[in-house]
Amino acid sequence: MAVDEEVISLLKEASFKEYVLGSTLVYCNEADSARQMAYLCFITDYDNPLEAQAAEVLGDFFLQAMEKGTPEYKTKGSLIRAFRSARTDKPEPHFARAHHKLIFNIPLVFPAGENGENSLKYVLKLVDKGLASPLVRIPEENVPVVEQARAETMHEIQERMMNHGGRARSLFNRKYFANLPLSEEDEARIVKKASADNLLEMFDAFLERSFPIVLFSGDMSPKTLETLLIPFMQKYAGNGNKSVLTEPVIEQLPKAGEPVFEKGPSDKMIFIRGYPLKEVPGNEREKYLLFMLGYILGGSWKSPLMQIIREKHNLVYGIFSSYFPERNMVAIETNHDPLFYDKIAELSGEIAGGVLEGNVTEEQVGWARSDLLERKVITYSGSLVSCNQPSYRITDAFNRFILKKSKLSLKDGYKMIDSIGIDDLKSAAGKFFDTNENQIFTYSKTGRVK
Amino acid sequence: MNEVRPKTLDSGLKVYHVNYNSPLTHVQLFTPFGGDTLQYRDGDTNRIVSLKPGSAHYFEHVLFLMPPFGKNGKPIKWRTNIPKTKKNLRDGMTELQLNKAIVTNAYTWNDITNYYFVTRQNVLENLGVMVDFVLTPYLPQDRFKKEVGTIMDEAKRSDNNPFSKQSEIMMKQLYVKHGARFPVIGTLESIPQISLDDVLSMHATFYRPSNMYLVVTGKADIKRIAEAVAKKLESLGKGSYLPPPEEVDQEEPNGASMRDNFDNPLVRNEVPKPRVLAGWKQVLKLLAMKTSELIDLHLAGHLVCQVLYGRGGKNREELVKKGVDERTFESGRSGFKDHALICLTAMTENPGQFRDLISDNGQSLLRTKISPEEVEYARNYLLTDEDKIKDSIGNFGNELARWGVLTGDPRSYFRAVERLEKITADEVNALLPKILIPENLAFTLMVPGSHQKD
Repeated sequence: MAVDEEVISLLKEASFKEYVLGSTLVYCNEADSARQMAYLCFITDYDNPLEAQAAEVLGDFFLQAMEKGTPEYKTKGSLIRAFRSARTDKPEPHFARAHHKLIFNIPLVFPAGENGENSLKYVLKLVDKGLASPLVRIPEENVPVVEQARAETMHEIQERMMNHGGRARSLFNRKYFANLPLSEEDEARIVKKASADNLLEMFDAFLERSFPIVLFSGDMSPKTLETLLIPFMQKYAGNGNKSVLTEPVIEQLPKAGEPVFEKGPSDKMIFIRGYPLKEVPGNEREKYLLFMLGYILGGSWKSPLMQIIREKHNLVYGIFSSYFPERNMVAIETNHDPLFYDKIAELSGEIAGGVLEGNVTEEQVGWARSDLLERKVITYSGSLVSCNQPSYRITDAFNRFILKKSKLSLKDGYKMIDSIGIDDLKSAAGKFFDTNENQIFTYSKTGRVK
Repeated sequence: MNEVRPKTLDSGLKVYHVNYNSPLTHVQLFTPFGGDTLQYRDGDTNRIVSLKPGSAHYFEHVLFLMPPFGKNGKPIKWRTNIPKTKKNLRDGMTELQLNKAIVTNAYTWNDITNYYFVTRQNVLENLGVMVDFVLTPYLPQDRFKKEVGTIMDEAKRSDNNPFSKQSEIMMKQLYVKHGARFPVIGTLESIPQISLDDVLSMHATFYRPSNMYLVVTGKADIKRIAEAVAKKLESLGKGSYLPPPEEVDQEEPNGASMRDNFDNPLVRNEVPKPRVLAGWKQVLKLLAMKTSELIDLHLAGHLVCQVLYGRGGKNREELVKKGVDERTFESGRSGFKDHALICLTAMTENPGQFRDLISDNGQSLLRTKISPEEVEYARNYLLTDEDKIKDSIGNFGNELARWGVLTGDPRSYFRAVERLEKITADEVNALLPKILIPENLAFTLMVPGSHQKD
């Protein structure tokens, strides 16, 4: 197989240099783009997923309250106005959780060139005010702020429960994995009870133990970044260290049982079918082999899941599969008329039983390899972006340096895909799958309809 | 500035190449025909054709079908493009992907059906494939009928989403005669009734090259593209000019067919609280307007929506102070060829109060007009959004297509952005009475299953 040197060159340009500035770990990438991007991240470890998720719930509640304004900008609207009047986006700080790790991320986007420096200074000033002295920190002002944020956080939890696909996935994950110990109902209970003091305690304790990381892609020099960003990071970062950047925890789907028919207010049946791996992949190559198998099975229009279940039998609008490394499984997902459950269970079982047992053709391997190679130059970060854009590069950096999802650089990952052949895939299928072991989980109003 | 190179082929196909800094090329082949058109005069037979709702979308699905290869490894020559059945059909999506296209898809909206791909390589070859399947329908009858299953599933997905359902009802309330009163995807009743004869007539009328646009964004050579496409069209027998169909005024009147559904709200168990969705309809007399007027009207519409309901706006703050729920208060404006829509929604325990507040607020703005300060804020807000759009080749390409449909020329997107920098408060206020027509406002209520009526 011959690698495409144009792609190699493009992917090399997406690489990052590592610096330590003060106590902040900084990853910098040079990009020639109209806008620059930075993620300001603070990462804290908790003892277990339960503590981390409880902290995340309070953290989201705190952010809702923080958004309500500052003494200078007394409403959410006036805060937004302060940013947009200067023709910059208001940053959306948020929490993200990876098992027992919680990451507080402030994404910043600002123009390239000379305007960029002034814009970044302006944005950081506002963000600093928002973090240091929001109304939620002021005892005389925080009661209505907290109550409004509480109501909003409760509604968000309720709305998540009413998103049928999301709810189904949440129930599936909670039933079989330890990563999501709190249900939406548990989260609601935490939010109902929390006081302003609880919120501030959580956030301050989180920051106190946090480790700071900056990811940057744009045309600003490391020296300018150091001048502008590092004081901000030093102000808020705590006494955490790099040891917080650990490999993801790998969980395992337990021994398969009978199909589950969870009831919920969805007219369509959400169908999830998990195929656990017999063991954890020992190296990056094995992970790539599993990605490719999951892709062949149902990652493309050309995949047998789509071609047979949608195109031949017209049973669904879409059906997909993917490899989930942190759950050590390949899973299929679709939603369909409950009347079609038996047929979809039968067909998906046959198809997965073929591909995941190594019955793949040279033609399938050929298009999968070709697709995955070409897809290396794009990502969906809200919308389609190419590898020359800061948002592509920052997303990759976040996955690699913070979540530790891959040890390979983009370029090496590309070469890895290129090196995969049919025998490798057949061998991986044999090593990792017993397709008789699989768990079906469904979510619908009716359950199984015979 | 993104340079644009236009070229119109002998067949009438309008080709545009737009520079964009990316290793990718985004290619869109579209017709300004979508779910809104439910009646037209067939250009060949002169008969009036009435389409079932969802016809344009159904057709978009099946147009990807391609004839099988023969024993010589080339597509078979067919005597009829609608055989009763055919084995080993190919499909355009697979063909493009096998030829290294990274993203391949199509979409149908109210006034557009757009076939597109994004690729790093093989632009011309893939363009040839796409022109082939889009311009020459090959529709075995049994395969055409089978697609009903997939599309019904897609429609049921929509039904399974309470917000989609609410939006569907609002459109039915707002529009009296216009095709927009039906969902683009069609209904569970209309989809199975869509006939092959009608879609073939539809294709002959709306998919003729003179009615279509090819917009190529990113790495490309317009000369080579134009030559390759012209040659392909010739080989398909589509190289000669046939005039585009006449634009037909749908004669949508002002006024809503139902002001509100509060006596008979949509009931959905999934929603935690009552939610009102409101829409301001604007009817555009396309044939009577110059491009500059259209641009101003659409821009003014976006600015008015932002001023009235957009985040950070003072009017929105006032509405929140008067009880509109800040978190769920969303708004947006969509502009189409011959109509436009400002929508807003929020959860509320008092739908009647919400309805009256919004109605009075809009009428008040008609009297007091918008201040230059608020226009300036709205301008900056929208320009910041435009900055974001340009970060994505896909979003940027979509904007070009949108303005192509609105004005007949994708380049008007750039004119619109320039105009957005300059349009004054006076100019926006002069257009206010065309944008906020009190009788063109409707409200649709959705309540939880357990909720008591007002």
